[in-house]
Amino acid sequence: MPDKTDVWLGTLSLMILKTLETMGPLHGYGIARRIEQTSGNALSLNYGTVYPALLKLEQEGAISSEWGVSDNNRKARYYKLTRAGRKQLAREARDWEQTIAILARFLSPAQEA
Amino acid sequence: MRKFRALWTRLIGVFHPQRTDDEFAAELESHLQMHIDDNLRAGMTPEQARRDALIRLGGMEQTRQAWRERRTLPFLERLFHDTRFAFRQLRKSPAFTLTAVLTLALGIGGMTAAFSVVEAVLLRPLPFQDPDRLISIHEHLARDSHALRVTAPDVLIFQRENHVFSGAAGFISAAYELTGAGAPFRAGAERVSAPLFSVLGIEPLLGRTFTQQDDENAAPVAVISYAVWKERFLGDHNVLGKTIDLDRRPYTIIGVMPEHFAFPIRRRQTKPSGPLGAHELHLR
Repeated sequence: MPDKTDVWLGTLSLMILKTLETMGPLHGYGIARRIEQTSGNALSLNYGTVYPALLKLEQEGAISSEWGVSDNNRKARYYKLTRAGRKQLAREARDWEQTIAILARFLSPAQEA
Repeated sequence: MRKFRALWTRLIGVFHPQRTDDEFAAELESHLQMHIDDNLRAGMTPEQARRDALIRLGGMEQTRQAWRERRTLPFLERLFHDTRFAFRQLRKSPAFTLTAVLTLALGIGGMTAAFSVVEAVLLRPLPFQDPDRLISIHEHLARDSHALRVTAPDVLIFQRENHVFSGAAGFISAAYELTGAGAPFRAGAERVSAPLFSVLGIEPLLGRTFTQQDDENAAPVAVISYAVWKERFLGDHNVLGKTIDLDRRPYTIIGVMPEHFAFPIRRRQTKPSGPLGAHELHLR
């Protein structure tokens, strides 16, 4: 079994924002699960780490939260994107795509030649 | 801006947490329940399901701790709690508190007093030109270390024959009844020899200071302090040439000194109270 990659510092916020954009309002457990699935189980993620990240995003005004009821009739705290959060997501996603594109050029220079 | 907002929220959180530990405990509990439900559906035993959920979470206490540290500014929160605790303890034992506060007050007061003397006497440079080259000359008898005053003729000798210093001057404190400028009052003054102001390197604000000619003529002239000029002459620029009486002898005002000039420098002297130089050397 190949080693799972740790979540890179600072990328968890972006993953959470993207997950909330795709899925709509969701609770912490759902977000953690979804991130794991989306990564194709290639990421090792302690579910607990999403909570400080959620709190940070909430403090920054990117998301808001309120209590709700889950599909299975469990009480759960639901997080959703705010307008500022959507903007932040768009900006950070663009930055990442740029970074990746630049790195890709370095890593496979043969294409240019 | 985002960072600032987050910092602000956390700062506020130190005093008024918007989300409490209890609420987060409930959130974690619901997280575990949902995970256990899923695990049960996947065919685990209830015990396995709970264990697995806890492991995947990364530990209940660790999660809570990480969340708490992010909620507020932990060091500030601890400081806040410690301070509150200290105050509670102090209130519980007023006798101890009083003793401690008094001890501190006396200690700080004493140190401040001692320091202000040291500062004025030793640390602060004299407000004159080249303060490190100014010296004070005294005479004393061989068997007695008490400083004696230098006599006026000796002052003249120093002034004339000195080749070591760029100048020498004598002064002696005196108090006069000052009349002729508002209500009479008792004025502190210095009787000085002419070179004093050039030795100190201080220029007058108005008019001139004493000259060798003044010394030789012995015509009574006075240089007044800024305070006397402002209070007694209301800052009149035509004050030069006017006459004041010191102990009923008329002196002509020839100069006014700048506001911060004081001589000699005394501890706690707030402002010079009278003429600074009442020139009156009767040496012959």
